[in-house]
Amino acid sequence: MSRPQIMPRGEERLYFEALAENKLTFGFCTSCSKAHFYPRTVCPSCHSDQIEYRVSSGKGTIYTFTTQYRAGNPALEDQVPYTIVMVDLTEGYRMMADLLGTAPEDVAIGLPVVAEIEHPENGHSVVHFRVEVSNG
Amino acid sequence: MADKSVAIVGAAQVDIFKTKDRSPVGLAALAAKRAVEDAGLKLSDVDALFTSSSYYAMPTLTMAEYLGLSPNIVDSTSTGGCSFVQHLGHAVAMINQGLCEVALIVYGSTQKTDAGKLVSIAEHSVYEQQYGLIHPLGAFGLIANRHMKEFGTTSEQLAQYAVSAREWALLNPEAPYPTALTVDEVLSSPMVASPLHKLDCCLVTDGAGAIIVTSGKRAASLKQKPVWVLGTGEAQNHRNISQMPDFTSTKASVSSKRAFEQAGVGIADIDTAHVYDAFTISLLILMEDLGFCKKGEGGAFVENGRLAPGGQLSLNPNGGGLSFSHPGMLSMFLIIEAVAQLRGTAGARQHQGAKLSLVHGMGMTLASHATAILGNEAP
Repeated sequence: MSRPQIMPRGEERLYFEALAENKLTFGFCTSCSKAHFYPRTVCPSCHSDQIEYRVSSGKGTIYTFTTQYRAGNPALEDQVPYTIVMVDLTEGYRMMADLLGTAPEDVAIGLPVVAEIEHPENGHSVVHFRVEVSNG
Repeated sequence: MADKSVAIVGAAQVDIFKTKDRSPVGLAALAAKRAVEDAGLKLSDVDALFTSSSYYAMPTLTMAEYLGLSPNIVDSTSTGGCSFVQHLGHAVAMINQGLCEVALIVYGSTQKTDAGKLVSIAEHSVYEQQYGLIHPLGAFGLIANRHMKEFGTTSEQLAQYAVSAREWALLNPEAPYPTALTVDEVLSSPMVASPLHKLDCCLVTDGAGAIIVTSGKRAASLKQKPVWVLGTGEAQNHRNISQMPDFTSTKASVSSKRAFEQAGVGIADIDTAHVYDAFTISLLILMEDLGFCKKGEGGAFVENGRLAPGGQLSLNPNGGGLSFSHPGMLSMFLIIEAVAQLRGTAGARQHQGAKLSLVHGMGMTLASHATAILGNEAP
């Protein structure tokens, strides 16, 4: 599917290069041991510059969501309605993405989700989430 | 009158629903002219210029050029909709430092004429942009769903605020929609970003506004009864919604505490409140964080017409962003309505005997906050 085009720079570009290799990365401060997202050059908690860009499991739970019945960008007009989620990842950071494969009436805060990385033909890789189906 | 007292001595708003043949800066220029005239001053008396814009990247240059001004000092602090309340606090500090004496704070927008939707030169985060969040509505959908989950807030409660705002607007001859609204009408308006409906959202209007701020000493010789700036405060904690630390609480608690402490008054002393209502949910959360009710009780607080005319609090008596005017950045118009209430010139919606008003602006998605306490008795 088409996506709004972006122009990442510097550490932003490193994040999208990792995504292109199927790695969702987050910032981890080796000084205070706190995770952060989006990955920064300086820790937003302790202001150390000893930051590692670690690879995430992509697993988490929905912190909140909204289903939009109008597109926020012309590139997404054929997608409505679509659901945007804030996800609390198990590594201790929170990120925005969209939720695929769940009808609007079935979305709920607290549902377990897992990341899925898409590589569109044009443009940058994109993280989506899907509700995790338990094997037990 | 204290040595460091500063007052608002002029105010004007122009074309607050729809303009014609006026650009954003041209509309703002007219508001500036009328505000200095309201004060009994001339534009050539202005020695400090404050503005923010959704159109102009260097708005003080644009505005000063258009008006033929050469101010001693300028401030184009841009924190979204609350910018002008922040400018007011900065103007007080600059006047008290002797950097200037007559400050013009001004804003103009033609977003209704342009496109009927929010105009913005603001950039998006690369970590959000791919997802097509409607700015700013989608973010408030995220905020509202979380508030509902944590506190049991309902869509009916949110709708009650929209209904109260419209009741106030019916007392304002300048308000654009002179018909009552019902909870059912709000709930049956199209869902745009769940759980928010079209009528949970502010109007999209044109409009310009300006205020003139000066020292107490200078104010004493001017034609209007001064509206004193008794306290100001500001605080912020994010730029992008995905970075908001807690989606149900804001730094309004900090900015208002600073303003109240400076003014030496408390929330129980407030006669009229002018609080940023871009969305029903933004108003509700701000009422909690400003201290009008406890955290999580905003839903119950807006029920039973408590915020309607004749209720517990004169809140946004001009009809607010939901039912009066919202030209992109609302806080200028919150200040102007507080000035009208404190001058006693608000007509049918006048809070009789109003002495103290709280103005609270928020910017972006509950990201930036600025509070001012205004009064009509000299400090």
